[in-house]
Amino acid sequence: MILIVSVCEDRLHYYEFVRPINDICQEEGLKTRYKHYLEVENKDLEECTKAIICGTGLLDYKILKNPEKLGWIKKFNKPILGICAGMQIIAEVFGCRIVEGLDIGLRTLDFKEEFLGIKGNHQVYSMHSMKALVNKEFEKECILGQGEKEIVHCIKKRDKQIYGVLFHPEVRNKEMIINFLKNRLE
Amino acid sequence: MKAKKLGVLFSGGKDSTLAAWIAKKEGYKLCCLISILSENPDSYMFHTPDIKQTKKQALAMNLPIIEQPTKGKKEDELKDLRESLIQARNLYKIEGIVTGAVESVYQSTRIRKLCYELKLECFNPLWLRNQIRLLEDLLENEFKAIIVGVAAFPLGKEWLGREINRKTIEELKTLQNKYKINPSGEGGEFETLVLDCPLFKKPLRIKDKQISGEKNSWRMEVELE
Repeated sequence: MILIVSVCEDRLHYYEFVRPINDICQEEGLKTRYKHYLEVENKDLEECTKAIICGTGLLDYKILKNPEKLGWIKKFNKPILGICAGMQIIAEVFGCRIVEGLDIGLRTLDFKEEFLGIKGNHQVYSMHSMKALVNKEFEKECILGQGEKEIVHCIKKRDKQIYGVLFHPEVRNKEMIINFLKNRLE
Repeated sequence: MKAKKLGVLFSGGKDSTLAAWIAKKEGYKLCCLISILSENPDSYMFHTPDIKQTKKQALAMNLPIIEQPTKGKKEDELKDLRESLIQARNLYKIEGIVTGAVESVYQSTRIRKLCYELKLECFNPLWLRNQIRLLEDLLENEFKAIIVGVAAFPLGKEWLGREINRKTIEELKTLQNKYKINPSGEGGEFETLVLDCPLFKKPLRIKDKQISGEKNSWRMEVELE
């Protein structure tokens, strides 16, 4: 069972950021369990094989002020994929600072190393108002800009199968989610 | 918790109306409709067939409507949209908007940027919805929507006025398999008009209609009552 975690404060964002991820899992024939981050129980964490933490709206970032609510990420020993706000919360749980960083639109990223099964130039759909200042706990991939303007688009925890993408692979590059689900991980 | 106040970016077609209904069902307060009346029939941003009928639909929903004219030139139409959002925020104190965006990154990125700039939430409850599922959602929610424009082979004049019902969905599935048509018209293959749905206090009726076009490009302009 795949645990799908919503960080949406506004229920209406569920349809846009969580349901599409749930649909992808189900299209792949996988069972899912949807939980809002405030409702995740030990039982959910024990029974799932993987977890996906979904994104949310540009103005909906209350979760980033309460990283302790997802403190279970630190002890969780199964694969996790964080998407957009989901990536940011993962980074924050492991001590990264989250700062403003707006980007909306299609970007081309050069995946120099294989990441969730893709490599080379790919167009991605970016839609974030915040970004993580990524620390040494993570390997970084697809960095755009320099200095204060640097944006890290992909992260992987060094010692665990914890992945984060700042863009929305459900819009462009759905195969990244499928690769995560189907154990096609590097 | 206090219901969040929303404006609906409204074209009168199935997608924006269904999105508004989902917002209402989820407990949000719909405060106004916002319709962009584009003079450009080929606008990339806004639906144009029967757009003037949104006033009648607003009456049926008992909601005020902001009608914003635009010449429909590529990026200029965004300035007009921006004006209408500011007006909605000032007049009806909206805190966000709901749109019927399904797959168009072009439309949705532009609308999201505007909303972010104006500090308005942007809700897109149909985003990435499977197109057949979306059509089924219409039936499950008792929508009466008809086709008022077609713009793709093999759709022709005979499709105008057809209701989105089980039979139509089955035919659209066949066309999807055979001709790669987007079954809910996401690629601009067809446009719809909602005559009734749970948001309407009473159903609307076609009083008059005018059909124009040729080959696989037809429009039906209607007068509702």
